[in-house]
Amino acid sequence: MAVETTAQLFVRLGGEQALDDLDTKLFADIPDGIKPGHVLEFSGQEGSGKTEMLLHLIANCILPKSWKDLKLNGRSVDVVFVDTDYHFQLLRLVTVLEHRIVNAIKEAQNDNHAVEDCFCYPDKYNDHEDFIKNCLSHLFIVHCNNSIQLLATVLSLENLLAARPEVRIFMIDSLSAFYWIDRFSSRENLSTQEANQKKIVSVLARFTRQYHVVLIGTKQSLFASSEKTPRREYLCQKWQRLVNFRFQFSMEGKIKGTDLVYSVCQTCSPGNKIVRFYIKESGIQFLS
Amino acid sequence: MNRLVSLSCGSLKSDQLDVLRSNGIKTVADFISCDVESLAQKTSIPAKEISSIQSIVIAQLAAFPLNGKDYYNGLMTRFSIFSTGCKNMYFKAVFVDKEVLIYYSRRQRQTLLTEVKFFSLDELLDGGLYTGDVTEIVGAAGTGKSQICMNITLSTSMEAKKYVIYIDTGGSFCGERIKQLLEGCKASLDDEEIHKILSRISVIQAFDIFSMLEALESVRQRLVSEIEDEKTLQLRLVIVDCLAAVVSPVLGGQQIHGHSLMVNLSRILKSLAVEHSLAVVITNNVVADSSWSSPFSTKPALGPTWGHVPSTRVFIQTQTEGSETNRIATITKSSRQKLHLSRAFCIDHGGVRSQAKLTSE
Repeated sequence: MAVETTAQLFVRLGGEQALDDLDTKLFADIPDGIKPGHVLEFSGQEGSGKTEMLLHLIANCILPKSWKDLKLNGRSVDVVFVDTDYHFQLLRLVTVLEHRIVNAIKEAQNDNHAVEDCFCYPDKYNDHEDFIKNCLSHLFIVHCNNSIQLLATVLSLENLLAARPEVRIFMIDSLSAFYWIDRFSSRENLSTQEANQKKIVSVLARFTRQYHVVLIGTKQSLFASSEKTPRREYLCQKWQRLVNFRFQFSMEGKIKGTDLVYSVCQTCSPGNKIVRFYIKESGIQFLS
Repeated sequence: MNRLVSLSCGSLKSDQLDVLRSNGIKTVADFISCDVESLAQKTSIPAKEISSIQSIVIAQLAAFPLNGKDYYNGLMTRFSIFSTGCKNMYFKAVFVDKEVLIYYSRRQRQTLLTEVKFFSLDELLDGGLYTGDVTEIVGAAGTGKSQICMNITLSTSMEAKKYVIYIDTGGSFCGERIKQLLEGCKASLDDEEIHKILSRISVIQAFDIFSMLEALESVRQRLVSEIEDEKTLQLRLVIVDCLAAVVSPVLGGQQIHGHSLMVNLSRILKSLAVEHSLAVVITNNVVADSSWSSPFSTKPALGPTWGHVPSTRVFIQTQTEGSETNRIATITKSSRQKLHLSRAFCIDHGGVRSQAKLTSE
């Protein structure tokens, strides 16, 4: 059992304010916002913005509330990112962080003539690279190559969670990565196929209870959608019961102007309100 | 499913294994996720012993989490972008009674009066091919996929002086063509230099998915084993042309077997890209797309599972106008670039060249 200092205990138990709803626009429909211990599922076809949304949320989390006199509106909490698809692009995250800082500087200067290319940092913010690196130290990345390794990795991450109560978010991109491999190696026996997945999910469920982390898992659409089965659920029952909120991502195409519009819809909730967003170089931009 | 044997968990004795098996702990996964206390009560093995073996096994199997800061620093030391070798053509367009005359001149570029925008594949890819990325080039037969691949190969070997592995599944790699491209670029090369450039390119022929997996596995083994030869240390680019040719045959019939082979192949390609900082380029065929929402009449082959694999996808189409064939590259998946940007290019004896889009402003 890891020893916890009172300060850490305070952070852990008082963490509700620290999360501050993760994202105000994406989760606007959830009455009480995202609370520690909630489980979210992002699903969608390729190129529908799942990983980009994860980067957006990571940026929300690892940035501090303010830096010098800039308002960054971050949460300064730690994030664990389990990358089973090798999709995570750190450089992209750095770009998103840079744009947040630039936007904050512009806002502070009340500078409205947006000349993106020739922007230079004022002397005061010369150490922005070190600042970004410091932000990145709030992030933990781990790659996994098969489902048994994923199980072992998730189990071993308990040490990290116990040692760093600042970890509030646990992301897995994606849960479906080993679906075909497991299905083949189990020779069509559903219970063997899902054996590892079930174990992983039960460990994750324990983490959400014990360490109050928010768990976000992505699920790829591995099957072509048809009229009869628009969305096929193929992850184990245990996961489906664990999930509190489901978000379905899709690319809508061009609606206004030349920018592609993406949408995210919270399924299995009354109303089915759709949130639309653009993906720009600066990251995700919600349509109001 | 990995069975629990004394080999995988060295310090478990065979009689203890039997006790564990009779209690339903049959696989490694069962063992590492079991509850130590209740197991110790059911068996005669002390809890301390079980938990110490358990933590050893977990430590052996688990991947180690990297702090984002260290990851970033490590990434920056190995990161590079390779040019596709697609040369820019500089145009001067003069509009005379709606007839466009085009001059090709590099020197005249500075003195252009009417600036015409020129584009290249590199620009389309936001600088070129990134290490750590799997870039997919999709197009029907004869759209120039292999030509682009050969161009990339040559430019990486010649300009960047890095080693390239070219996995050829359809016999489309042509040594003569490489030589022709080489002569087109630099006429003044002596034999020794040509030899050097060509020796950086290794071609592997793989005509089925098993020899492909074997070839990629041997590349990975070489990278993992840290052999200190230049060929391994300077390897930066892996090209698979054409991937669909070996994957499509296994996808029919027994769906699951084929998909599991395909996912294995995708994982080895991605782990090469990410863990060893290689740029990976694959080519894929197209199949007809019946859905109304698609901007093209075709879509990439190999189905929705494969669709998640590449991080960047370039779609190539040809349009025939009279005797001329226009080739247009469109970016349909990227995490860096605006989607659906298009660039026209042409292929001549000197390789892939970008073409200006003639926009009369």
